Amino acid sequence: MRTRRGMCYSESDLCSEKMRAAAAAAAAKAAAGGVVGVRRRRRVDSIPGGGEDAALLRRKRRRCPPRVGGGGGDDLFDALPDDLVLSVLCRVAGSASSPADLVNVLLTCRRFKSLGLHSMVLSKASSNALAVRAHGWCDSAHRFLKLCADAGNVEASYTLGMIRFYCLQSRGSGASLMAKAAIGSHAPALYSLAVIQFNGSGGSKNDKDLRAGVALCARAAFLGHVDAMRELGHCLQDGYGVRQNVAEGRRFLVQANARELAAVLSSPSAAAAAASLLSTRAWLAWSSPHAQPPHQQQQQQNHQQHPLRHAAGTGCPLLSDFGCNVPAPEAHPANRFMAEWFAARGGSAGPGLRLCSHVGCGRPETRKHEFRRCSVCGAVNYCSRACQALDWKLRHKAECTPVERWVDDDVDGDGDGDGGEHDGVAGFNGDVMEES
Amino acid sequence: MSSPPSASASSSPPPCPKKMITLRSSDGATFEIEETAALQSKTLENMIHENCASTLIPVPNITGEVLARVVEFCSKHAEAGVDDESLGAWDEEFVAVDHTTLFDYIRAANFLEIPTLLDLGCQTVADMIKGKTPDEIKKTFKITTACTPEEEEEVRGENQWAFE
Repeated sequence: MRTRRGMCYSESDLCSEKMRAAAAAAAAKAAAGGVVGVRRRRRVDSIPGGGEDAALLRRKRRRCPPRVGGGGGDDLFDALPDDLVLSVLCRVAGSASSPADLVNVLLTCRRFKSLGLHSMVLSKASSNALAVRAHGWCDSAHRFLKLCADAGNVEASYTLGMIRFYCLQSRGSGASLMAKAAIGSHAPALYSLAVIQFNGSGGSKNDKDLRAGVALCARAAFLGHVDAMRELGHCLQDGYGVRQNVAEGRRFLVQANARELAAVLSSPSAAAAAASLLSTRAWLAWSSPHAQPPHQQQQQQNHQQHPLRHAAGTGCPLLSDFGCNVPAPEAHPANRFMAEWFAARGGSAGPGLRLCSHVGCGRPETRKHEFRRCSVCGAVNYCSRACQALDWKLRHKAECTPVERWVDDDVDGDGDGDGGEHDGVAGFNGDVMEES
Repeated sequence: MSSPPSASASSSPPPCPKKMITLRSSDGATFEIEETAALQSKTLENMIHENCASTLIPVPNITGEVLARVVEFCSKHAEAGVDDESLGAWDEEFVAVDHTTLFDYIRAANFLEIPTLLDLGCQTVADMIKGKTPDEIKKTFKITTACTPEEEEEVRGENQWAFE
């Protein structure tokens, strides 16, 4: 890597373009001893102002830092050494709202291009800067993500891992990229790996590892990941992969809803929409969440089956959706990519392979009957309890209707004990699923 | 018998005299800054701890105008009891200057190692860059040396996926 000192105080060559354009002005400035031109790597044949003056100027510039302020219309970035330009570009990458923001920088000038591709800048790229769209997927996008992942960007590792695992069907490298992100404490990566463990994705149903799934979920939950909290809550309630502890599970479910609501309210655009849907009574009820014993709350919840627009205001609403229509949380770019990818391929990942019915998820099955379906209607299926709970709240609650017992085709029975025989309790918030 | 080291000749010495540090800019202007405010700058902090700060400290790379503003910044940020919101608003006003001055702030912050000012300056410039097309960026910052058409084609082709 070129050292900062080297770049800053190196010989200032003039770009031949600029020479042609501003030869006279440059010569005048050179005579006055001001800062002229830019630091460029290209060899230049000649510098206006004559050989001796130019040589003197070069020597002078080597010893002195650039004059403060430069000349009137000169390149402002000339005044900054490379490490400061890198600082600026890191922040551009870190706060970019789309990949175009970063690429436009690369297109600006050669210095930006070389510094923009520096590993420090790439490692700071935000998830929005790496938000590749499925229709734009190509080798160069793949290369870019790989470059960022190699630079240590955990978002890139995760995104590329998801794309490789689910879309490109390259299970091993996808999982290892996700693992790399998970080691960097990336909560979505930990959760995605948990889902893979719970389902035994990429392998047979015997490859499921429930305890590993719970461990990964727990780590993600402690980092504040809402879906992981939900998943963990359900696992604790059901004793799935972990010793059953209903109270603890309930606590996680409540926490997940609260955190989701807080996230929505703290984002300025969604806050206005959500706030208008909250009724005062809901807030009053929330202020005393422990006012009623659990079973009473449950009964009240059962009465609130209809789509809630304004809170009835009783009970602990944090077990459902807090009595208001919380808008769907924004999907991670990786999930959006998968949803677009499979939508473009006819809504399926392959023959007989379904997608998770929660639209914000986008995960496909990796083998037949991997996902579980709603035990009431059987029309939708989910990769995880968290997706099921979220979709219930956002959409499915309004349209789920019990049907006559369906005829199973090729049931993927397992030793969970549920099989396909008995009707799992379709909870008021749909939190019990059964294997299909 | 020992006398207190900071015994002053005047009748009522102030209970806690604020230690001031003097800085001299490149054009010879001097500025006083409280020691607590000077601790914002790692360079000055090191000098204080090594007891080199008792005499005048020359700051050759920075002009008087810029140094005055930097001193103001450090003093404001060293103030106790300022809440985040009003400080943020003050910061925003601070960087609402022309580009040349902004870049001067960044260089000064780099030289004096003032992380808060450096972050603020760099983020402001970053915000100015974001969302602009390459031509707009070139115009805003008066960047005259662009890539050759071939190089631009290459980068554009490589990153076409980034543009919807």
